[in-house]
Amino acid sequence: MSTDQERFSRCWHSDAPRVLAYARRHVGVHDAHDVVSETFLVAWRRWSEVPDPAIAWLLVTARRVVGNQHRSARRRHALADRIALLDGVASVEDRTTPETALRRGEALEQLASLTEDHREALLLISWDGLTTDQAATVLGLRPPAFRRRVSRARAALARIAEDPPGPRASPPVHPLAVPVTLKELR
Amino acid sequence: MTRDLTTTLEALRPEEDQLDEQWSRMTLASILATRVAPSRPRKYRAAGVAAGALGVALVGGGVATAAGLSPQSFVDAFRGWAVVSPESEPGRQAVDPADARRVATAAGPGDTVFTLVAASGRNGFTCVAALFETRASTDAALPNEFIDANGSSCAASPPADARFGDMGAVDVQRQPDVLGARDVRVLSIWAGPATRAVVRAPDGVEHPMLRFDGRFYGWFEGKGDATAPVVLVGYTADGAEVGRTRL
Repeated sequence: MSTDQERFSRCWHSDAPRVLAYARRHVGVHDAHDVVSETFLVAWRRWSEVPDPAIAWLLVTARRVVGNQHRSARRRHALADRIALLDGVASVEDRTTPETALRRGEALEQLASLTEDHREALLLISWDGLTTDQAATVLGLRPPAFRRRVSRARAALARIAEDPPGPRASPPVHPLAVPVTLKELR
Repeated sequence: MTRDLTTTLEALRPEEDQLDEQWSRMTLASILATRVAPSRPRKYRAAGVAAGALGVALVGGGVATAAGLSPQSFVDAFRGWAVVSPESEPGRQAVDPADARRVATAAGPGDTVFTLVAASGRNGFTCVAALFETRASTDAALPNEFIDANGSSCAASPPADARFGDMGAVDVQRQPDVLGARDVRVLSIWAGPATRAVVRAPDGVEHPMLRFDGRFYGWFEGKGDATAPVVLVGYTADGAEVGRTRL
């Protein structure tokens, strides 16, 4: 195995779980694996450009991959779907009593009610464990701008907590796939 | 929640994901099976690609002949993606093959690489092509020395309730010319809840399938029979078997 392959393998083992965690809250568990493999495929093809540590670069790439996945965009559209995605990844330790379960549900609903920009700013720090500089890189911001966004996100969350969102929206109806073979066209 | 935001968010922080060991090993091996594209300064990139393509045509020609692969432009080969006939294909959206990107790779037969290339149009309408390409071809931004493994398919989205192996019959297409006399077959199935799948060939060799957009794509050699069947097995993210299909 070459040095590059060894370095890449180490990066895979250390960072793939973190990229998977990031992807799961955006696209769900099934498509998250697609996001991880595509992200690292891009990383391997551009390995000489990948910095060490690689996590911020990888999450920037994962963010683009998620953006290319049309289903993820649809899933983020409805509040109920955003809550379901967050619920699928958030810790379940705080669900041990009815009271804590209720508090957990309210907290996730409030998080899901934030704009995507605000929610991402908060979660890159508190869930993904990135530094301010790394999180700013993922979002394409300078650190001061990122800190301002975090501040606004906290304020928005405070407003939502005082005036919670209304009833959950219904999940969208998923259109059936229409596979089309293009052999005849070519 | 805002009374102690940091504490609440920390309490909700997801437990660290553990990768399924088999999925991790197979995916890493699949990625490493491709060659690393050397990075060049942007001003030289266009010239580098052009020279690379010429090298494939001249130097790689022998390889292409032996392997049954031929240099061609990906965009030309899949220009049909951009052709829309509203009457015969309602709901279909035009997709520009020039926007395509490699989304997954695995080792292919011989010295080839099995590659999925995909592009999306409006409303998330996505076209996917499964290819066998040479290792030299993987250096280029898009495949330029390849065989179209099983045609391509375009879809708005996979069915939400698809089960592993759904589609009734598994779509298997024989590719006798991929590597000379080698009897290579290509298949695609719905993934359902499976995040990893393998196809076990009659000779016992397991090939990892590539997952993209709710489908698995894979290949194997030979033709199964009652004593040595071809078997598809799907696994969930935690490694549990979710389905098994004999071809």
